[in-house]
Amino acid sequence: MNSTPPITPTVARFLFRESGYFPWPITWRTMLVLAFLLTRGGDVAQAQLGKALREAAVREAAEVAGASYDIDESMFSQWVYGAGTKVASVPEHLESTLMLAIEDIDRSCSLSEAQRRKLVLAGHGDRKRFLDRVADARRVFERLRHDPDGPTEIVKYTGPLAADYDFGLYGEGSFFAKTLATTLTPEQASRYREAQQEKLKFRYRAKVTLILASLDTYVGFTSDQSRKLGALILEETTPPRRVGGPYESEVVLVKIASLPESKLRPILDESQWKTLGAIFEKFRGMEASLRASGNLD
Amino acid sequence: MKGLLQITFARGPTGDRSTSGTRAVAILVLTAIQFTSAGLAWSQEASPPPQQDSAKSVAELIAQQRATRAAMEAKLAAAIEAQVAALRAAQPANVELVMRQTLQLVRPIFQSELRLLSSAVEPTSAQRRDIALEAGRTLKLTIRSLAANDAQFLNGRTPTLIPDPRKLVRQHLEIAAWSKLSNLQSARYRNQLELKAQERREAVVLNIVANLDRHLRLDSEQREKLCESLRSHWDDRDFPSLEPSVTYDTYVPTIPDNYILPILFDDQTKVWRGLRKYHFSTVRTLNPLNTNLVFDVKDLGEDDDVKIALGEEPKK
Repeated sequence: MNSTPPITPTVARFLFRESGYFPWPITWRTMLVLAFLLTRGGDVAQAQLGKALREAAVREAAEVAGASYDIDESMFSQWVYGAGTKVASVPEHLESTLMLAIEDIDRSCSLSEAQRRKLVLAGHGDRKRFLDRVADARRVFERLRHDPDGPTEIVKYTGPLAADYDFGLYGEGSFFAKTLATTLTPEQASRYREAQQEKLKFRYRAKVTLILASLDTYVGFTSDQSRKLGALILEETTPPRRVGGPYESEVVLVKIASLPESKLRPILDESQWKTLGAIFEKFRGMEASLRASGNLD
Repeated sequence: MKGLLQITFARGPTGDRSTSGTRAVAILVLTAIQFTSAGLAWSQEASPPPQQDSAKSVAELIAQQRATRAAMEAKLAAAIEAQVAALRAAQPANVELVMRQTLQLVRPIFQSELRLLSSAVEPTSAQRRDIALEAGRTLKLTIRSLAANDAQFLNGRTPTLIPDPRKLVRQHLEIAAWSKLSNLQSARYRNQLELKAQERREAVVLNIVANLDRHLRLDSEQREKLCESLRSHWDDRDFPSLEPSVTYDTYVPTIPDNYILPILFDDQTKVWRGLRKYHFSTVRTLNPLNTNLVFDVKDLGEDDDVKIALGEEPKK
């Protein structure tokens, strides 16, 4: 009866988890365990129990942070294709986007059958390259999924794949784009460029309108001022070459901020100008880094 | 309690199964009393002195146990009361904190909306200040109530949806302005608000279409038709508001199929059906420019009417 019964780490961990913080609230399961301990040894020294619980908590924390780390296998597909996308449907989606890209060109340039076949072949090359990259990324995932620092490294592989999957594999640098450049006749190429330029202008107009509406949150433009500013920006600036990059909003803001004061100021009142000036000042500071990263022409 | 255990096991462990079983049941009952009520430390404090007399009647034992239990339950009740009181005391602090943060975030909106009102109706300085004060007063009351909901959320209760902050500020200014402006001024202000709402809708529509264009490769005619379809079917419940459109500009919102499918070719329809779509109605964001840059209201030149209305003294 004098000897204190052993409290194994497992039991102590269980107690700690059950109680959350000792001594209560204590659940029925905990009471059963305590009853069991007492039947085996009787008089339990609280100090030792407390010590064992604390040690168990430390061990458990170490386990949580270390050896037990595991990213579920399904997460890989989610990171690349998005939640809810069935992996089996991926090839079909890639094929649909390829066909869409070809139809889009056909609508503006009327492709011949031979041109179409070349583009399909190039697109399949891009698809294979993409799936090879997915396989490489999966290998990285398998290697690092038990490592607590793994996600940072894994996302370096899955992030670009997700962007490509979302917006198509047939953009700049793809086999498809290279084949397109050598396949179209000069007249077709001109029509295609024109169509692309229209898209770019539309997107830029949308972005400028959105940025102005956002700036309005701080500045409080009247609708007349917004209209005049929008017209001025579209007239005085050109769309960025790269569409849909991660810094698209910043690029548009830097472009607006670079407009001469003599053109902007007459549209605004004194207090609006002061607010806008403070915002522009911050964005001008981003210009160099945006240029260096190739986001700003 | 320790004493009771000693009485129960005065004969010592026998190792035989039936004795162990009986002992386990007894211990279970005793520990249940001990631990459900108030914990080990309290049980020791409240335990009666050791009883060595094994002939003590069962009735006395039960009475003793009941008394002990009652004492422990009283302590438990007191502990719960104390905890509830502590939570109640903590809640106003949460409310104050959430309120301060929310108020800080709506300040620029309040200022820009007040500017819009000024530009639209050119009120006298006295009118402007009166409107700002009244709107500020009612806005703060509303934010306090919203903050209370947030604080409830912090305490694990279901939060209520927080409305569009711009809409909130605008409503308060509009109500405050109603009694302080002439009919003509009110009409001009309302007209301006309508134009601004259209402008924001247009920004969202253009961006939805520009984003869909990247996925669906629309031609110029389709882009225009889709813009028109979205404008004519506009419903705040179906479409994202401006702020999420900036923050989540690459995401495709859920748009009813009948607004878009009649405009698409078959190949586009196939891709549209496979796109991941998101519903934005519950997204709340107060980062209008979607950048990491933080704009201090002081840098943006907050005017005195705003400072007074929202509770900060202007500089002398």
